[in-house]
Amino acid sequence: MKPKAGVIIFPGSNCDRDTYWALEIAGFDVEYIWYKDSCVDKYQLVVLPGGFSYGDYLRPGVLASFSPVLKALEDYRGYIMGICNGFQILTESGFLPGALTRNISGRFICQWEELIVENDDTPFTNMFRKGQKIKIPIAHSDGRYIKDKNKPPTVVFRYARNPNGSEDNIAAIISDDQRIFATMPHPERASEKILGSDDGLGVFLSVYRALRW
Amino acid sequence: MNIRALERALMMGLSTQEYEVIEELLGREPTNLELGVFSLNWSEHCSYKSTKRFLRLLPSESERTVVGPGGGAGVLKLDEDTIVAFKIESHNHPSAVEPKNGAATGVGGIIRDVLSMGVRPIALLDSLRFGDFRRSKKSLNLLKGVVDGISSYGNSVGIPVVGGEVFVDESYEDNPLVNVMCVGVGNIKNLKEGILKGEGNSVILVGAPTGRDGIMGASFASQNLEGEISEKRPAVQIGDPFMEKLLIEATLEAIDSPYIVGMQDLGAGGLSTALPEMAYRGGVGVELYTDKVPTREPLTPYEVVLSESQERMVLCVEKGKEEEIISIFKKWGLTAAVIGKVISKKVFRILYKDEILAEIPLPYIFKSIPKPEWISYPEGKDIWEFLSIFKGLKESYKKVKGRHNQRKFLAYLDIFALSMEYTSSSFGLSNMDRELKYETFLMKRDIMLGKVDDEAQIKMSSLADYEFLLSKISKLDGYYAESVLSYKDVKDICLGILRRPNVSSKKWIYRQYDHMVGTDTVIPPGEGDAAIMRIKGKKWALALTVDGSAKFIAIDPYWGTQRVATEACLNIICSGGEVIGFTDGINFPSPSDPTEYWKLQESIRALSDFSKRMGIPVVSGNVSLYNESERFKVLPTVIIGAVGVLKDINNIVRIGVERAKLRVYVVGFPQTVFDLGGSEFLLEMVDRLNLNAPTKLILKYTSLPRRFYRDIDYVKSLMEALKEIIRYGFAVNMHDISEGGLFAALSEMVINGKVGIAVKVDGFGELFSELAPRVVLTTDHHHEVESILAKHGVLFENIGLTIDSRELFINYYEDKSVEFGVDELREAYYETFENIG
Repeated sequence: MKPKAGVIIFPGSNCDRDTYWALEIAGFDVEYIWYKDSCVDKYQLVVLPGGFSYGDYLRPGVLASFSPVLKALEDYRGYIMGICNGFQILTESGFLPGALTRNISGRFICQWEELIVENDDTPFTNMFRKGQKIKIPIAHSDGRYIKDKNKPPTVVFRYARNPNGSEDNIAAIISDDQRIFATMPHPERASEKILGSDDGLGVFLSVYRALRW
Repeated sequence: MNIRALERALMMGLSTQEYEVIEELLGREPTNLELGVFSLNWSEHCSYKSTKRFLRLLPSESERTVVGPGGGAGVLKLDEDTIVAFKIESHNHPSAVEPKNGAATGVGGIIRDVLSMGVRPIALLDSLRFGDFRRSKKSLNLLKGVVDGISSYGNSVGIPVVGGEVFVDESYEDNPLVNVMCVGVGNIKNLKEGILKGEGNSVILVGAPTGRDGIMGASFASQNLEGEISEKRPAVQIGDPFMEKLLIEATLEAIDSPYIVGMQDLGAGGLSTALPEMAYRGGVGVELYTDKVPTREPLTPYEVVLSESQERMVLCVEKGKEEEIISIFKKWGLTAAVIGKVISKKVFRILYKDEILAEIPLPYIFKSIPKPEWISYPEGKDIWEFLSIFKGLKESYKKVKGRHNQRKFLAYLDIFALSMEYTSSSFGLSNMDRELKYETFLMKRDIMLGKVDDEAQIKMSSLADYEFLLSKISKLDGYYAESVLSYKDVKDICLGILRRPNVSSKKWIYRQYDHMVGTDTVIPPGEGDAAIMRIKGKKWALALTVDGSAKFIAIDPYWGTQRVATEACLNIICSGGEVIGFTDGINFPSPSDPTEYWKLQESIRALSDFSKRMGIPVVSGNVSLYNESERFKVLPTVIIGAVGVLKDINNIVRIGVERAKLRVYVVGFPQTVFDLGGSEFLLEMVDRLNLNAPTKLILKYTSLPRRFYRDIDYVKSLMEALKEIIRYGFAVNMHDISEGGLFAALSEMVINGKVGIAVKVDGFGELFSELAPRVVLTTDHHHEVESILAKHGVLFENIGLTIDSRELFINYYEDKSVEFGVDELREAYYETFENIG
C-alpha cells in the first residue's frame, strides 16, 4: 500500500497543488487537509505548503498557527514537513526553534539556490550524501533564519551562497526527534528535470523510503 | 437645460454634448445617480467610444476561437476539452498616482477578468514603461513602486509572473504605462460568460464587502493627468491579494455547479457598468437592491452603485439555488449576498428598499452614446525644427579636447546624421539639400524684403553650426565610423549598449516576482524569447510573450506596429511554438491631437492587416488614451501579448549556446547596411553627443525604413521557414533580434549558454540594426537549413561559429575586431538594474 500524505490548505496557501503533484510523483497517496480539520491521524506525512496563509497579516505564519489543524498536529505522531510559509508556521507555533525574519534586502527573492546537505541521516534526507550540493529554488520575503540562543537547531541544508541573511546560511532544519522537518527552499519546485532540477524530489523520496522501511 | 446638473455632469467627466443627449433621452433633468451611471458607462475606458470603429477592423475569428473581444477575456481552444483565456489590461493613471496600489489593483482586475471566464489563471506577464530611472528620481520611485505592487499582489495570489518587458523613455516620466496580461487555462465545460439571463434569476455579489474606494475611477482614467496629483488619490482603489486568492479558489470551486448562469468581474465602474453590460448581453433587464449590498462602512446608494472596491464578482444564479452557491463563498470566508434580480423589461433599475432611485433603459446606455469626432492627419515635418536638434553642438565640439576625441565625436555625429531623414545620403542627393535650397531661397527673399526677425537669425545660426560640423565630418580621413573609432571605443560602445535600460537584464525585477509557483514554468523569464508553460498531463505546452513598441511607431505607426506584431510572433516561433492568438494593449496620448489620432488609426490598421495576413485572431484587448501630462505626451505605444502552442514540450528551442562548432546564421535581413533608425545604438550616440533633444523629436526625423522592410508576405515566408526548420529539429538555438540588435542577441546567447560565439559582420549596421524580421539561428544541419530557407525565399548569412571558450568575438569591419569574455558581458548586462539596490 502507498504511504498516505496530506497537504494542508490554509486560506492563502498557494503551493498546495504543487506539493500535491510532487508527492504523487514520489509515490504517495495524497489528499488535501482543510485548515479547520481537527484530526490528521490517518496520514503518515502531513505537509504545510508554501504560500501566504492569511495574507501574511501581522507576520507570516502567525495567524495560521492558531488554526484548528495546528492543534491537531500537537497530538499527531507521524512526519511533518513545512515548506516556506509552512516553515514560518512551524516556528511561529513552536514546533521548531528560531524565527524567520525579513530578508536582508527587504525584498521578495525568487531564484535558484545551491544548497549543501549538512545531514544525510534523517528521514527527509536519506537519499542524499552529506556534503552533496543540490539545486532547489527559493521564493520568499521572510526567509532569514534567526537562531533561538537556548535551542540551537539541527541544520539539514545550508545555502552555498547566502541569499537572505540567514544565520549560518541555514536553509532547512529538523526537530530533535527527526520527525518535523522544515525548509525555506521549495523542494516541490525542483521535482522534475523539465523544471530545471529534480534534486528536490529527493526530499519526498527520502520520506517515502523512511516510511516503507 | 439645467445649468447645475450640467455642471455636475462636467465634473463627472461628461461633455456638454453628452449631457444634452442624456437630458433629451430621459426627457427631464437627470439625477446625480443617473449622471454617475452614464458618466462611467460612457467613459472612454468603458465604452471605447473613440476607438471602437477601428477596433472592429481587427480579425477575431479562427478555428480555435471560442469567445472573441467584448467579454472578460478572449478564449481559444487548445484541444478537445481545454481552453485558454487571456487578456491584457492597462492601469496607467492609477499607477501614476499611487504606483504600488495602482499596479497591484491592475493585476487583481485582469486576474478576475480571466477568472470570470471559468478558468484558472496560470500566468501573468507585464509590460512596463517609465521615464529614465537613472536620471529621474521620480521615475525610479515609480519603477520601484510598480514592481513592488505587482510582486506583492502576484506572489500572494500564487500566480507566477512568467514574462514581461520594460522600456524607458522620458516621455513616460509623469505617466508610466503599466499593462498586465493574464492567461488562464480550464475545461471548456466550465466556460462562463458575463451574462444575465432568465427572468427571476438572482444576481449575487461575492468577494470583498463594498467600500468607498475608487469612486469614479474609470472617468479619472479617461482624462489627462493634470493638476495636483494628490487630489486624484481617492479615485485609486486599494487591493487585497488575500481576498483575491480566496475569491479565485471559491470561484473555481463554484464553477462546477450547473446553476451559475453568468459571471463577471467588477472592474472599472463597479456595479454601475457590470450589471447593465451583463443584462444587455442577455437581452434582459436588471434590478439592483442597493440596501442588500454588503458594505464595509455605511454608504449612500450612490456610493454603492459607483464604488470600484476590488476583489468582487457578480454571479447570475438560477432561482432557488442561491444558498448552494453562497455557501461555497462563505466557506472561503467571503461575503456573498443576493443583491438583485433579472427582469424582463430591458432597464437598469436601481432601488433602495422599495424606492426606485433610477430606471434607465439599457439602449440609452449602449446605443445612444455620442461618438466623438476627432480630426486626424499625419505629422508635418519642418527642416528648421530638425536643425534645432543640433543646437549648441558646435560649442560642445569645440570643448572636446584632443584629436582622437574630436574624431570620435565626429564619428558619432556621422552615424547620427546618416540615420536621419534629411541628412541620410543613401540616395545620392540628400533630402536636406533639396529642402534647404527652397528654404534658403525663401529666407533670402525675406531678407531682400527687409523682413529679418529673431527667428530667422536663429535659423541661420543653427544652419551655420550644422554646416560647420558637416565640413568637419567630411574631412575625417577614414571614411566610415567603423574605421575612425578605435578597438577601445567600439568595445566601450558595445558594453554601453548592454547597459542601456532597454537592453539590459531585468533580473532585478523578475527576481522579485514568484515566477515558479504552479510548477509549470519550463522557460522562466530571462532565459528565452518566450515563457514556456507546461500543462500538467499534456504533451503540448503554451508559449507566452508580451512585446511593445513605441520608438518605431513614433517613426512610422503602420510599420512600427507591424514590427511589434512580428516580434511577438518571432518570440513564440523562436521558442519552438506556433502563434494562436493576440491580445493588444494600445496606449496613446489624447485623441484630441490630430497627429496622435492619426497614429492610432494607422497602428490599428497595421495590426488588422498583419493579423489577417497571418491568420492570427485578436481575441481581446485594451485601449488607454489620455496618457499625457502637462509636460509630456507618451510615445505612441502598442503592446502585443501573444499566446502560442508547442506541439511537443520536448521540442523547446533555447537561446543559450551550449555546443561548440555549430554554424551561426542571421536570417531575415542579414545585411542591414545602415538601417539604424530608432535603434538603441543610435540613442547611445545621441547620449554620447549630449544632444539636447527629446527622443520623440529624434524619432520624428529618423529616416523611414525602406520598402522591403514593410513586406508582410516576406515576414510570413520567414515564419514558415523557421517553423519548418524547427519541425525537423534542425535548429539548435534561435533568438529574435530586437533592442540592441545582433550584438545584444549574441551577448544573451553567450550569457545564457555554456560556450562562446565568433562572428564576422559587415559594420555597425549589421551589428546594431533593430529592423525586423531578423533572427539568429545556430545549427548542426547547415545544408538542410540553407535549403529550407532558400526554398521559402528567405535571406540568410552564415556569420560564424560557436566556439569552445566562453567568449564573444566579433570581426566588425575589415581587419577590426572586438572580443568579450562572458564575465565582462554579464557585468554590463546586469549592472543597470542591479544598481537600483
